[in-house]
Amino acid sequence: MSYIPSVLSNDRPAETPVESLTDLSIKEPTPAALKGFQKFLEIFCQYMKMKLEWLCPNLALLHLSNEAASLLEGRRIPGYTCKLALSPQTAAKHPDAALFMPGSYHWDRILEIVREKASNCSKYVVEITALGKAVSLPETDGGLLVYEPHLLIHWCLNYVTGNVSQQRNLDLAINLISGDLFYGYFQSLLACQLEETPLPHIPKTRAKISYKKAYDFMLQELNYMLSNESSAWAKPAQAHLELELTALAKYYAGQSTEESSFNKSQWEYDKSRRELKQRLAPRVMASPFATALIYAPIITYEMDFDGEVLALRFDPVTGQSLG
Amino acid sequence: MEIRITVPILKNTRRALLDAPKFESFHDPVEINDAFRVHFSKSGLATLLHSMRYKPNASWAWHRLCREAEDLTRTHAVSRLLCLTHLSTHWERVGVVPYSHQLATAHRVIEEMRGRAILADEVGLGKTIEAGMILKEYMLRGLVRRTLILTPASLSRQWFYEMREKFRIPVVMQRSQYDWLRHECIVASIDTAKRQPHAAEILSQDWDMLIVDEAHRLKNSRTQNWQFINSISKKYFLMLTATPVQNDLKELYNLITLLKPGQLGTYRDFKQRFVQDKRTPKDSKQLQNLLSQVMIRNRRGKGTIEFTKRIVHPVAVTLTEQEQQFYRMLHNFVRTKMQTSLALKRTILPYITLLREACSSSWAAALTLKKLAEKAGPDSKDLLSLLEMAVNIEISAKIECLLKILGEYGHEKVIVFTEYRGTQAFIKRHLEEAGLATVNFDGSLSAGRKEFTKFLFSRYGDVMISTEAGAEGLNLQYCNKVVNFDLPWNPMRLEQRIGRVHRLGQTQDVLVFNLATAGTIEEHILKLLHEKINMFEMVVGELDAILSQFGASGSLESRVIDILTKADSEEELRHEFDELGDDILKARQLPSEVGIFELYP
Repeated sequence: MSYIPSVLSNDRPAETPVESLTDLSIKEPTPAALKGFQKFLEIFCQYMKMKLEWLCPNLALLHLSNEAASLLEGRRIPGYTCKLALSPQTAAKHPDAALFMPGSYHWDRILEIVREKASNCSKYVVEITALGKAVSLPETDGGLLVYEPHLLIHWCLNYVTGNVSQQRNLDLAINLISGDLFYGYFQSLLACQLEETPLPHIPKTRAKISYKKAYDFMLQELNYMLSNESSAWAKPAQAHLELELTALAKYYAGQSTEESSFNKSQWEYDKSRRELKQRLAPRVMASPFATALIYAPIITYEMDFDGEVLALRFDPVTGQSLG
Repeated sequence: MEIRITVPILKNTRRALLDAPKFESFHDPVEINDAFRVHFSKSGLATLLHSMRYKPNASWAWHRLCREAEDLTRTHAVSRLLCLTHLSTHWERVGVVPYSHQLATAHRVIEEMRGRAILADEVGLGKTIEAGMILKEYMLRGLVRRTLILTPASLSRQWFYEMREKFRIPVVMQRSQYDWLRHECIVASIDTAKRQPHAAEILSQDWDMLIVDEAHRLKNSRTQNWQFINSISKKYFLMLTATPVQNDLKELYNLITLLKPGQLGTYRDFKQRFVQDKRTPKDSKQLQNLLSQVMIRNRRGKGTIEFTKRIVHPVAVTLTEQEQQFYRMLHNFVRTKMQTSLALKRTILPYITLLREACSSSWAAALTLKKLAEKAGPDSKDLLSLLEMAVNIEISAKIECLLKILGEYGHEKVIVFTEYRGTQAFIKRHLEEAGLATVNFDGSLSAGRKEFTKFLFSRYGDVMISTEAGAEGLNLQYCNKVVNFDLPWNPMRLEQRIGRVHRLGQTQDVLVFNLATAGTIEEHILKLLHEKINMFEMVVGELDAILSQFGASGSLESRVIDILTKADSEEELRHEFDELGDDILKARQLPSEVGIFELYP
């Protein structure tokens, strides 16, 4: 049997061209990005009650508190002062400053602290002080206002192929009474001028759906959403995998006829196939990075219509009627 | 089960500094369509339930900041290689400069070769750095969790240090059979790993990344090494070797097939298409093309990567009258004892060591003589008289010579190498008396103490006195003067000593002083290395290629021992050393005759 290694065939998908070395360097962030980094650092310092000074536009002097230092560097590390440069150019000008931008060590460390603090976020009470411009709660216009529990989960979807991984964030919320699912609930909460206040003396409903069930509903929903998305990103990787698998199959088929020293067992072939799939198969890894339990208002309007009582549930956060 | 990184644990300093990430487990994949699958987090639910139960009522403000920061992180990634951004500040602190060829290699292995490659850079170009960058990159991307690094035993510690210090990868050195399960990133000796019960433990697990250093030891598919590595279940796989092709094209085939079965087809097809004879390829362009898909080789030289100069000064030290007398007496004693031992088929190594120690310093020899005398009991008369001579030596010619060399460079940093701890203590005492800030560095120091010693030397020290065992994993690019107080019989050790300072990152020419005592075996060794094989003129990396042609590098050492045992006179000794030099020179010619070296991509 004449065997031609798959790598010689012309129909193999084009490999990523090797980029010039300059493309591998750390790029300067855009002005918009820089603003975002600055804002993040300022808010972080404010919440941690740490002093922050701007020595020049992209260079911050950070006075780490004992708590922050121990979180950043480990237990019993006393507070200290450090300089953070928000761009590679600034870092190069100030060798005593540490780089602070997405992916950098300090960014990742501070993000861990934020995640740790946020991951605990549960049992909120939401008071909506203004809904758009028109309605102000608790003006319910004759409706019955109850606070229903909503489980909000922020998901990170990681699109992985053999050589690339790209990520995106989305949030998904579920009403633990009705099971209604919402995308973009987090944004709606922000738009509603959410304020963190003690629970008003308004009836709070107990959840009917367990966390486990709610989590499963979300998985089903994400599954559905992903199956309806374009799979164009996965196709070249899938084609590449197919070629590699074919080449492997040919190799092991050729092996069985000759007296080489290789282990020809089916086990080895299966192992190689499994390794190839683990490495090259395109996949989406979905994992939550922050959760919150939110008691959000639902207004129920009832109307007597020809002796039949009709009820309408309205969610002022999303501005949707829930049927 | 797929794994990815989420939140690093910040429990204590050690973990925090090493970037230890907490990993997340995933459910079995769900088939979405023909194109891809989805893996949903399994531990996400557990975390959710835990936080609802035990950590309620956190601040909404933190929650909002977290989402905003996560969004910033996703949308403003600024480098194709995450490790570059992540480690840039740390690298500045520890003095790592990623070279462009290393960045290009890491990028190519990940983007083009999809995590399976042979890193075949010439020696000294930083294959370990490349492998570390690739590993870190995969870890940061959340694609690698369980990592196994297999190296020759002598290099395990070096890997351990490099991964921890340069990449903050939380590797551990394998110590027991339970470590394979207990830890996620392990460095181990390949010889230990392939033995039971370790092998069974390793083979029972799936590894995300396997790195094998000195992979040219896997050229023969019939060996236990090859079979063992082939059986390990691994996703990404890096093999590091400076000499992937040496004598036989079949070895090359074995190596590539281990990495990527089918890349070169079956052996029969490979032979048909590419093999003219054992050492000569045909259709080499096509073969080179195939190799370049799985192998990367960076070279030194003009226009690529250049090292600073290495200026070597052989220094012949004339022993004092007292020392000469002691050496002569000891030599006679050793010769007699060796002959007796050989006749009785006993080991002669203690006597060889004694002779070598006498070349190094009388103090080192005195310590061994004392031990031998204690062991010999009533028959120790000769030994005691030698011991008395050794301790009564007032002036050491080598120390005088060393002080003279150090005096020329004022308080510039110098590293002094010796093979013996006795000599190390001897030198330290004399240098301290001369008012030089001196630190000792050897294999007996704990990891923490080693760090502290390195710090002391870099900040305050004038001289570091190190043994080879201690110097493994020691990178001192900021120092450019090396004194070899005694000469090892294995030239690779000498190369490794010099390599501590003469490596990528060194900005100045490196000065090497080789001290050898005239009229002793050291003089012959120095002559062999300097004049005959001219090893100090060789480009970095040439020596190990030559020695592997010559035989294993260790065999040179055994040839020297042979010569020493058999030669009856000084004339015979000289003649034998000349012959040894000729043999090495022959080996040096060999590589150029082999056409397969042209195959390197």
